[in-house]
Amino acid sequence: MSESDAAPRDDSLARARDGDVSAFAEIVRRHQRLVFSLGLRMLSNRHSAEDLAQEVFLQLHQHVDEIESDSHLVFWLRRVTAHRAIDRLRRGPHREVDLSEADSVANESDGGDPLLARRLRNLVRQLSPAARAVVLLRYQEDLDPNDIARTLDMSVNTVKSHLKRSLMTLRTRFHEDGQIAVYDAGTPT
Amino acid sequence: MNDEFENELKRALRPVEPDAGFADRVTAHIRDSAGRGDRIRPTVRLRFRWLPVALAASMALGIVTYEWHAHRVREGIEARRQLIEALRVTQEKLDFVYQTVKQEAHSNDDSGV
Repeated sequence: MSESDAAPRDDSLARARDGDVSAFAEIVRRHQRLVFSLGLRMLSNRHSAEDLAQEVFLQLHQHVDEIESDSHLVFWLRRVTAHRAIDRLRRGPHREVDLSEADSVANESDGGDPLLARRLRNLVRQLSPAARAVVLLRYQEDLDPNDIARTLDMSVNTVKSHLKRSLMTLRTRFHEDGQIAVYDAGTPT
Repeated sequence: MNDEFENELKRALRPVEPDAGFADRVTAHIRDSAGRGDRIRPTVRLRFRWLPVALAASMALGIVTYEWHAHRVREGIEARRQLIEALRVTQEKLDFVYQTVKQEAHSNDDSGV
């Protein structure tokens, strides 16, 4: 379950539907991490990610009357963010910045290897937009293939196929970088 | 099944926060686009934005239809008036011819022809 799902339920959605801007701001604060992170990992650019996240929340503001529940809200945000990011990537050249900019905030220490994390993110951003979205929803949002399929309007088999091929690609490229000895799947040392 | 590689992937892709003040920037955008205030009903406004346009279009269509219908009625009345006038003139001429022929016949009878 993502952090957004775990957020305490309150009446901010109802108040936002009633036009209360401060309640809407609460919703933004609660879900900005989800939306911004998806945008950042898809677009690899903090400025574009913030721009995308703003668009998503402005669209949410226009459609807040259609949101039925907190879980529907999270589903809606993931769906709109992923689709908008894929559209942006497909529309044309996208300014990708050096990893230091995209990762500047992401590398706060949490016990992991920041250099390894950066290399993995770099590999993920080499995937196609659709495959990238599938991988992000699986490993960032912790969704199962059924939920990913609903979010991205794909069949479950397509999602599973994307996951399998993307993981294979990521492992292969990771191996090519010479790190297989430490993180080889299924061969614990 | 998750393995160490996938766990590393999860760690690498953990969510991050946007720059400070993001929510404030979003709400500022909303307030700027809808005027100042703490209560804004954009959805209602958007949902019914088409209503005045639809009403104006319906009224315009109604007026045009009414005018077209009235015009057709006026044309019909005028055509009927012209027809009646034509029939009246024709009848007068026929009466005149009839009277003339009748007088001719009487004068011939009187002269014993």
